[in-house]
Amino acid sequence: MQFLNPLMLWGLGAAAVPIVIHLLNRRRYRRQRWAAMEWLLLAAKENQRRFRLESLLLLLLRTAAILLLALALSRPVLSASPLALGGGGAQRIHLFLVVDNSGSSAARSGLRTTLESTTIIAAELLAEIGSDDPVTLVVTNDNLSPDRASGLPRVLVRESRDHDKVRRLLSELRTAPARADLADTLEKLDEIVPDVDGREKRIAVVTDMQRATIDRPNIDAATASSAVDPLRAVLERLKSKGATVVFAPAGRQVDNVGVVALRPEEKRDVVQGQTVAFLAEIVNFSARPQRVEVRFLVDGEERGDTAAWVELPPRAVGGAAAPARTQRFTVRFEEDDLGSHVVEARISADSFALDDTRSLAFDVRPRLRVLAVDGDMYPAGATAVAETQFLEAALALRDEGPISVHVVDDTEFQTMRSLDDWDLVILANVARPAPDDAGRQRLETYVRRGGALLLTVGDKTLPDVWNRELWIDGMGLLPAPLEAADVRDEPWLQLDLGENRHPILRDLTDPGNSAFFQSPFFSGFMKLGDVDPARGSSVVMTYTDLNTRPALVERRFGRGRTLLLTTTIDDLWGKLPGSYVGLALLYETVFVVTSHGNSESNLSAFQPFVRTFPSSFGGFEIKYPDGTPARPQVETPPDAPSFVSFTGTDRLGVYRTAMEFRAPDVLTPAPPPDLSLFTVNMSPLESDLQRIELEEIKARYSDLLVVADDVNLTPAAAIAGQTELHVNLLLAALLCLLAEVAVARWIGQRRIQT
Amino acid sequence: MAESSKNVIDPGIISRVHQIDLRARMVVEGYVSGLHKSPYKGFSVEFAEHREYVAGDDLRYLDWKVFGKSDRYYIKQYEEETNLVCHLIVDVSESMNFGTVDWTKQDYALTVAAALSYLIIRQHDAVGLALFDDKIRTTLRAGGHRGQLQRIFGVLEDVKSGGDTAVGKVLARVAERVRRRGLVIVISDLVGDVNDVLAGLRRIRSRGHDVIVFHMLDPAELTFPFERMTMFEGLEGHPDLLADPKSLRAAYLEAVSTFRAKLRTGCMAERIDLVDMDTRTPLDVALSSYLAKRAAQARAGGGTAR
Repeated sequence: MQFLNPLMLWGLGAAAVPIVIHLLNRRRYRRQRWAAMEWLLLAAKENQRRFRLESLLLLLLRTAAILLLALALSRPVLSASPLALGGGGAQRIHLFLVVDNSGSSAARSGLRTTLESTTIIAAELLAEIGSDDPVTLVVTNDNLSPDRASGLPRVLVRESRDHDKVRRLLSELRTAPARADLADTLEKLDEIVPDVDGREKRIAVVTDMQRATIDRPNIDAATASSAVDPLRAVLERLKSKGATVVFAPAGRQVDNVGVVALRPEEKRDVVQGQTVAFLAEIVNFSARPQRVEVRFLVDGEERGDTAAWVELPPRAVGGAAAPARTQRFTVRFEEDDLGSHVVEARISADSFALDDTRSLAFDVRPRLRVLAVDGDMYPAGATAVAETQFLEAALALRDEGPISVHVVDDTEFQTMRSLDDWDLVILANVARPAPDDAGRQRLETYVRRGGALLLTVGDKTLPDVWNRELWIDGMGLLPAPLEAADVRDEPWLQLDLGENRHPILRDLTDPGNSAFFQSPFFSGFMKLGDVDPARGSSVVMTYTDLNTRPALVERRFGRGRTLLLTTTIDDLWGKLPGSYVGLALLYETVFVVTSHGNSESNLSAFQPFVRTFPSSFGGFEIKYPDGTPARPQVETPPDAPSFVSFTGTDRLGVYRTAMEFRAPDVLTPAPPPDLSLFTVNMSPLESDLQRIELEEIKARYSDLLVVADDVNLTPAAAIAGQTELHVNLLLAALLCLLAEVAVARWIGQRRIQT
Repeated sequence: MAESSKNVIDPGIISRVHQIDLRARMVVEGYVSGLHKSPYKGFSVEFAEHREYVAGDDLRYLDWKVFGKSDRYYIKQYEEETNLVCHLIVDVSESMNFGTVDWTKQDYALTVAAALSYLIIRQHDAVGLALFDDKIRTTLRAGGHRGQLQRIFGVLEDVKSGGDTAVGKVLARVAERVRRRGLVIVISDLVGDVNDVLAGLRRIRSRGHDVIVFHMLDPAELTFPFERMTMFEGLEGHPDLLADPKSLRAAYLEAVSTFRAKLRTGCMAERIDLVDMDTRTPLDVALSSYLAKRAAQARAGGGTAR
């Protein structure tokens, strides 16, 4: 027998209390001279023995009640079999401790976080086995390795008899702000659980029973329909190896409200001179209505009207979390704001702090620079205008606007050595887009490095030439080969403005805007060959003819992309100029194709941070949100650009980076370091702290695991294969008390009757 | 009148009087004045004097001649001629020196003895006294003169509590020493073996004596009213006993009842009058018992009593 709460064994001393009272009562008596002693002695001879027996019985019952109560409080456990204890030096048990330190373990219930409860339970389990029994410690989310934590399941200790080391590791364990996948963790464990072992294999999973940890979220319908429960699969494998799995719940259900998303309203880069809207999504994961204050900060400071109260509905009983409420925040960035910034959305603090703040890093870019190459700059005819006249007017609406357009003819374009200074290059009705290899390579290098290329056709566009110079049997920049122009006398074509979620067309095709945006008519367009998704090409927009001919197609090429408009950008084949659709289409296209996005600057916890760097790279520094320096890894692969890799994104918040450059020569000073920010946020999946009911787990996996709960089976008792006796002892103590009352009453009544 | 007499012979009141002669007088006079018929009878043949009739006097002794002459009621009194010898055997052992009310069994027993002596002498009978514990401590030969009463009172006032009791042995000894047949009155708590007690009484009866036994008990000895844990300190050499009285009460009362039943049965078999008395019992019970026995003896004795 062992005791889970051995300090309470001191309570056994209280059993002396009734004995002392009994003895004191024997010392507290009155004295009475007595003459009729013969009769009294005669009576005593017959009755004193019974009286003593009755007193002894009452004394025993009282003492037993106290003893049983003290024993119950010390929580003894009885081994199911002599082997189960594992003590006494016999190496009978191999304990596999699986500890859930996922983000939800930071939830605070009372004075403790769930992780603190978890480590206490784990330490209790460790104390239950013999000192020579080996222990394997596995965490659901590794964050013990500074700068290299993976956030994935990891075996921290394997088959060790150094229990002190395991205890130390448990005490050093920190919450990893990421989702845990229990099935993955047990898969990791399954790799090291031997098939045959001379010992009993006991696997204790100490977890907060978060549904998101146990149930793998269905990524898509196909996964859901496969109906394969990965947890069941791995539990079955472990069972087949003879392992006993015990779930030991830790912590309690707590209410949580979290900021689950923070994003710019428009999926495009922030450019100077623009007012940008940010949207924060707040979700109430609790079962009661909540009201929280949302505050927005830019670089840690308030800018404008930043605070608002949000009413949040409760989640349905047993159902999914309530729908998110979106709070909007707008801020304008000017030229002074160029560079890296962070906007934060904060809500009132609750029991789970990890999702009370969410941050978004982004760069405020300088004005977008568009190079428009006009292939028909000097058209014949008195009424004709340059190919790019409308384009220039549409994009550069004002001098201080976010877009600047520089127009050149194709001859000048061919003389330009590099295109790196331009965010977007438009080749409008150019007869020879890449007349030689150097020109072709210049274009391809530009796009591959992240540049954007917009191609428009017209009467100068010869399919054979374009296909030869840009299609190159599918290896070039063209999204699809050109076939032939189909130009008629009368306008007969319109753009299909049915709802389209492509970023360029989302607003344009929004049904709410259908009255405003009416497609102009076109009299001609360029027929294309197959648009092959395998080559990274896709149709963005079609015409409304019967064959849904492509009007706009795009192709990913390296880090950049190419768009092809299959009609003229001037009024040669259609009425795009002068229409709202034409204006919006061009404007949106410029922003979308030039946006690099900020996904590289906004990571989930444990997602690696990667930056390529130029040859003038001199060094790279990263600082954690608390200001402590990190140690990123510099990789220099032989056949690819060098890059900085950092996998220690195990802390939530804003990281600061500084890329330093070497001086090109001794006479030229080194350029100033490039300072930027990136953020690390927790996966919103982890914000839903909803626990799986124990009964549900028991019902699902009753044949594969044991669930320890406070009422019937403590974790320690469960893992040791032991039966905890405290409930039985409490009942026995109660019975003793009831028996004492009954016996005392019976004796009293009998004495009164006599 | 009966009401006042009852009050007078209440042990609670009598106990406040210290002089035993005064106690005896109060008991007897109080008792007598409560009767409608005088207990005093002339048992002599020689006329001595007249006295004025008092209520309760036997009308047989009314002098009608004097009434005819003087129209007053006088009773004829005769010279005394003792025809009854009464022996009072009083237990003064240590167990008698016990009481839970205002007085002990010994106080009560001595008062009874004094009152009986007073009554007996007033009736011109002879009375003797013996005090005993485990043996006879003091004896007074029987006598009927006035001085006898003073001697008896003197002895009773000078009693010291004795040692152990040996009632049976003492009664046997009394039987040997008292030769003249008469009335033997035993006043004792009779603590001891009931068979020994009965054997002693039988010895007295076998000598032709009439016997009255006043069995003295304290009320506590009859009811055992204790509740708390009690250390009972044994008298007369008995050991102490620590006991929970509640648990012993039934058995104790059973033992007392058994003793008394055996005693009663034994006394009935020997035609001995057994009078159970606790120290709250009105003292007239003792006198009535004596007078009843005296009357019965007078009737049985033929010419000795008129």
